Amino acid sequence: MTDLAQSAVTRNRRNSRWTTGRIVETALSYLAFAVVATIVLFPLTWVLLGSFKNPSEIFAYPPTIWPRDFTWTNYADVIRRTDLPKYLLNTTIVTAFTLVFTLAIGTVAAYGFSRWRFPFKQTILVTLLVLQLIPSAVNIVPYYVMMSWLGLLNTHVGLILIYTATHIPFTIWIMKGFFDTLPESLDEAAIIDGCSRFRVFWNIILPLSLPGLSAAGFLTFLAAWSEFLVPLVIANSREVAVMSVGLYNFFGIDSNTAYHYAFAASVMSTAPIVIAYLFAQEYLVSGLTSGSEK
Amino acid sequence: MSRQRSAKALMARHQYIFFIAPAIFLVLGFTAYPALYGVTISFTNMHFAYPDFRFVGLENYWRFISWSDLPKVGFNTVFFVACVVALQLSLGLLIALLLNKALFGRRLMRSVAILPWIIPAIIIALMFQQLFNGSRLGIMNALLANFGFDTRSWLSNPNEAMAVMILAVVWRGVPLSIILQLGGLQTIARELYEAAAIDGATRWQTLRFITLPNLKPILLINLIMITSGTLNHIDIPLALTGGGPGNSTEVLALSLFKQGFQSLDAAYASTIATIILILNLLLTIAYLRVLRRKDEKDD
Repeated sequence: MTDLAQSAVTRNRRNSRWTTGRIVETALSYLAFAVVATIVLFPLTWVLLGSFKNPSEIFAYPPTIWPRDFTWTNYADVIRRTDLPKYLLNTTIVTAFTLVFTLAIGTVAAYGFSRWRFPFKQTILVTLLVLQLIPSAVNIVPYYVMMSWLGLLNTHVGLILIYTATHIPFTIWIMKGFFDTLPESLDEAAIIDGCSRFRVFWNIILPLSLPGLSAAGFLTFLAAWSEFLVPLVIANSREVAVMSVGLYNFFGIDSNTAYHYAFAASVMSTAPIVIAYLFAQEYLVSGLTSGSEK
Repeated sequence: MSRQRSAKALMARHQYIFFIAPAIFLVLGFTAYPALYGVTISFTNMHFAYPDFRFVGLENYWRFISWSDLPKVGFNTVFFVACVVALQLSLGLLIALLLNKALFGRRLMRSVAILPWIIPAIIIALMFQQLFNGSRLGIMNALLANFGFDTRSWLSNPNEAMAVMILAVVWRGVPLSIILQLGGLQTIARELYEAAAIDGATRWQTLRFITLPNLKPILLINLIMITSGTLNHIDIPLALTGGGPGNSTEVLALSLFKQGFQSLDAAYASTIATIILILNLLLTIAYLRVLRRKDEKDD
């Protein structure tokens, strides 16, 4: 709350201020945080633990939280009896291509915006930001029509095109924020040495921008991996379905039949993101804030 | 020679075009163009089951105004958005204030608090479906039974279904509020707090007269972002309740999806999309105004 003030003042006379009031306050803060942590972690833990329960235990009353015995049956069943492995493979393909194209096109453009002055630059940047705000809900009918013109319904290419286009604006904003912090004298020195602009960008600027790249990359990865509405509409056949569409069609609203698969399938579908999050976390906050402060 | 050099200089000065053109074309082609194209579809009678369509003027808009479900869907939308905005903003602020304290283990706490943000919407929908399973096997029913509550079939009752839907969306949305507001809190100058402490301000006064006023631009931006984000949100309503039971949890964005891809009425779906687009436009204008005011203040 006013902790900043508190810490600023107490820094000078630390140790002398562990009054009862402060102890109570710290205890209350931890208590409040325990409530938050429970609300966040309980559902997730319950799904994770549920994925290791025997099907018989999942359908038994009273429901348990901690599995009576741990088993991999559900995972084995999901892998052998459902199409989830295929859906996950499709998701991986679409996400990987989206990631490469978005970062390539987005960082190149960000470099252009960072290093040249040209008319309407600020207008174009703000327009990009505004276009980013157009939700996929609004564009979903036109997407369907456009993809049918282009013959890209039920293809991964269609998804990659749309994902790449919609993730480029924030990539530009984040990366431009980063490039702006690197001195232009770096570029000039290399240009005098005979480097082309693109070489400067590729060999000098980009390697220095790893934190920004990780942040933009993680956000793109997260969005592409999780996207639901667009693939549901333009790529919903069994062969090309991504994870979200597969899960929706498989565990859709009316089917409680495959209930015991749902836990394991959910864990398998979320694990890649959680792993990526653990890696990107370091850079995430700094990357995000540098983009927004501009 | 000199001409060659000036041509080269000209090239160098305009080289940026090669850097930014691919991005601009892609973004325009797959965001601006479809949005405008969608608006034109709303003036036709395009239907996914028929090949031909023609211009019909404002007919779809009249249909929208006289749509028998509109009062229900409109109410649901306003209620849903209002609840989500209120909860997400206030919980985000409370947790951000908590995480901004100089507590041991703050980084771990932040990671935990942000966790729901990375879980895919479809997974959240499935998870809440199971948490609030209507039978006595549902874990929420089982937990509540310990406190003497009866078994409820959550998602089969209109009010409960709406509550679960709001809960699921808020559960996922609070982290974004936390990230934004924590960033805002950290930009507030320490000197302000030091001055307040010297003046003997109470904690409430410091919160009221220093923290909140300085956080106001971020809170406003957050408010606008959540409003538009919730208004446009289809994923969780679609996968969690599908608008049901009946149309008791059907919100405007979900109607768009249902009209377009269940009734196949592309034109009518585009009409709803256009109305949502206009609402978004108004929110965006508000967003840019706040940003500009913030910039002026920063300079």
